[in-house]
Amino acid sequence: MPSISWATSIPKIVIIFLLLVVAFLSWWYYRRTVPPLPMNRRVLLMTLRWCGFSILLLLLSQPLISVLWKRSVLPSIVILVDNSKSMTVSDTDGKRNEVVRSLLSRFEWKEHFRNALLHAYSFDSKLKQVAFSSIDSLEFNGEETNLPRALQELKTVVAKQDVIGVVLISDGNSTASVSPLYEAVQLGVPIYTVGVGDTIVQRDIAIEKIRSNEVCYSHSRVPVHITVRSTGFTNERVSVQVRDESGTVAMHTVEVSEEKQEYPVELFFVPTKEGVHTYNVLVSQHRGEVTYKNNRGSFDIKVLKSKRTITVVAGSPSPDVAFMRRSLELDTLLRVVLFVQHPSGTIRPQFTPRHIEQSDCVFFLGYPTVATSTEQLQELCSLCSQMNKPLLWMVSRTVDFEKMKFLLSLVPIEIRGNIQAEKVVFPSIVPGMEVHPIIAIDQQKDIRATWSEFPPYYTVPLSVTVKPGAQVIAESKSGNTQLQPFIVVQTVGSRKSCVLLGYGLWRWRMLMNPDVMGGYVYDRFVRTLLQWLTTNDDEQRIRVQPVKRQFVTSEKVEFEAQLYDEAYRSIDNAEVIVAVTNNNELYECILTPLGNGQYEGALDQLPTGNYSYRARVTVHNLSVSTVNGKFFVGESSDEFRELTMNKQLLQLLATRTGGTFVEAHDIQRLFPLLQSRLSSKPVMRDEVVEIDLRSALWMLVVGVFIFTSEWILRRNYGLL
Amino acid sequence: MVYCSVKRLTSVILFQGLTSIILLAQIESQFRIGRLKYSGGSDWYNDPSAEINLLSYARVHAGIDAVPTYEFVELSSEKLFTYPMLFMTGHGNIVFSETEVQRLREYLTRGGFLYVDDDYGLDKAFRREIQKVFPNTPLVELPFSHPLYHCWFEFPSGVPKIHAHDDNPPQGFGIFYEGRLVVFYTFESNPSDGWADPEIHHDPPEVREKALQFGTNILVWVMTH
Repeated sequence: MPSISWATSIPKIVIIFLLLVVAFLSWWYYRRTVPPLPMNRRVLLMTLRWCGFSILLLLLSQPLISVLWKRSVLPSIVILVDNSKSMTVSDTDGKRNEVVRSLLSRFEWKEHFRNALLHAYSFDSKLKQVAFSSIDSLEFNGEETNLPRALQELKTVVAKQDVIGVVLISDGNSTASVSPLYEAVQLGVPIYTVGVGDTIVQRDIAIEKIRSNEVCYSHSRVPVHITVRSTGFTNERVSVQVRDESGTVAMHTVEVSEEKQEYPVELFFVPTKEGVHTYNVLVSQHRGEVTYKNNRGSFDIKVLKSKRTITVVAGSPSPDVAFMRRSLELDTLLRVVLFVQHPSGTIRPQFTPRHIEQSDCVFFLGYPTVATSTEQLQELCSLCSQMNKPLLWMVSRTVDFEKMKFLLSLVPIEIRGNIQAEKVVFPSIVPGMEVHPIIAIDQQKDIRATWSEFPPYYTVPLSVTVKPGAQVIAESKSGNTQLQPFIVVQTVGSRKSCVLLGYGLWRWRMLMNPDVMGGYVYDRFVRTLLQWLTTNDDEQRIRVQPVKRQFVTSEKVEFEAQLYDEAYRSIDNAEVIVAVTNNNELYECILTPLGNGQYEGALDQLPTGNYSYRARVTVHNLSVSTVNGKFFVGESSDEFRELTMNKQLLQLLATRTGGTFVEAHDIQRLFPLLQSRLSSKPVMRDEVVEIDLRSALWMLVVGVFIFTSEWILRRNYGLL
Repeated sequence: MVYCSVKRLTSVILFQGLTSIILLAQIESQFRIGRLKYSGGSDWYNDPSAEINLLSYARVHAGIDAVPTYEFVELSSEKLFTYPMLFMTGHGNIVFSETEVQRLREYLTRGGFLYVDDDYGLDKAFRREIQKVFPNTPLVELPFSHPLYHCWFEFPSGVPKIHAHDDNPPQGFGIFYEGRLVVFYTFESNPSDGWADPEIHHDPPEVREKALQFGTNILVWVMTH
């Protein structure tokens, strides 16, 4: 029989008193009516009024009703089994997972604990309930052993059931970063720990740690620091290799002895190809090792192209050459190779086609001149054209008009007429070009205001025609007269070119006060100029990549994409299909648009291996771009870092919670301990349900109904 | 002595006049060197033909678009920053005021270059004054392998010996700012005397040639680095 109690904010005695007062007042009000009413009607009205006011009074007292009833429940025992990969290690007793299966199947658990409910759970990265009957079919493939989390999640179970104990079957090697002891104590029930595994150190050679750069340059020496851990081996020669897809790139042999357990190894290799590469680290396998699963590891490196090279060809030494070079060399990732023409026409140092081939961009400063050899110029221009190199051409006073013609096929202008006398001019931004990357050198400031501070430079008036598709982004003006284009740019296919019809720009660095201008504006101009020339727009606008470079087998491989058009507006109607390959296996993933040019998708867990992906982006069946890349799926090796049973932790878990630790072969010792906690009679469990009437709308509705009824009756009876 | 002083003064005036004429005809963008006018009493103005001859030589042998002219500039001048290179020489004392020290440092850090040639007797004063400009950066001797000695003409033994002075080996010193050579100082050498007209110092032709070649190296270095 449930017991009911109620609590109010006003003392109950006061409520009862008030109810009596309300009853009296209701009687007093209706003791005589005009017109007189029969007794029954008056009683009805009194009752309605008293009920209405009583409900109002109760609501004001904020009542809380508690219903307590008892029910009998059987006590529960939770069997918590470690389902992680470390349970597959072989010990002297055999494989740990087989030991566990044996423990669960060999003993008639239900017979031993007839007066209890058995709940089975497995845990690795999280807790999972399993049917007790199928607990011995666990796969022991969890990538981590998160015991603190498992115990935390077990709290809800303990709260709902009458749990008298938890039997934890594990090797005790928790891979979580926090200790499980706190959660164990918070659980509030004894934990009986069953230790599985050997405590004796077994023979094993493992990779403990791998440390390398995340980014490096191609053709540069990259160090890899590897820590090899050896236990139980004496005078053994262990080879350590670093391998990529082409084979071994570095190798070292270390002699291990029993005295020393960890061996640092430093290897070097030289990556030659750009891109993201996965390197595997392997240590040799030795007879008697408890496992070979920790004999390998891997790391990723993003290999960047070794310093970008800018080839500068100068018609003669000049301050523009020196200042431009210095400004470029402020970027430590840049290498400037300068060729200066001798008055005889030869170029110093000696120039070869390979220089152009290895360049990321070519600058012609005040070149060609009268002294320039036509053959040499034609060769240079031909190389730039064939190799599709971005080109900057600064036209100075000394550039020869006749020789200029050889360059015109590479640049965005045509020139007719002869060079006239030099003029001193100022830059003027073409309206609408304020947002052009070359002009917008300072995004925080008013661009026109910044450019209006530029000192004068020089130009030689020419008869210039801008080619179709080219853009004039700045002009030279003298006084209020626009003379001619100053900066002209063009993108043809993937090749960009820029002409500066002005020189003496070095004066911008000397004459503009860096303290006033927030640094050297000239340097910013050169940097943005180079960035525009060498940036492939497609690469920036279309990005499709995995969310990380390395995954483990237990997780999904997720992809993300960001798509923008040439005006950098987001593309939301594209189809993005990612084809993932690993040797002969092909997987396909279609990314879902999320809006704002963003897309995402995932592939279910992939097996270990190196994968390549090719993402195709199409809009209305027209191909926009194709992006390639690589990633790696591996096994987490954290589970095999410790191979012996962590007896100390298991003992602590037991003693801190009032339980007991036993080793697997001794599990039967637990049964009488658990049975002693079980009582012969079922346990009565109190369950309480609270009904909060404070916000019970129905009570208000009832009260309103009662008052309304009273009013209707009063009207019908002629009292109103 | 008086005759020599008059002769020297006359040549200075003549050169000033010629320079003025050239200035009227010159193209503004062409390279020129600014002769640094300083206080202290030393003859900062001596041998005005030096720059003219050097620039003429560099036009022919290095293709530099230069105007062969003699121009002087003070550190306080507004025109200071229009010169990519300054040249300082003399025989005596140099004094930089606090403002001039700041101006010179500003000029050099923004990208300018200063070449100083001890005409004999300038060393002590120069070292003292330049230390005010770069108190934490001493003058360091450039090794023979420094690219300045090889960038256009070859000087395997470094600075050439143009004038005897104290018969000590010639030396070249530099001050580097953020990795860039901003001051170059020649001592016990005097290349700028070799640039002057032949009748001034009566140097043998091969010595003058050496001096002009060395001066060209300095200009090429300044205009390519």
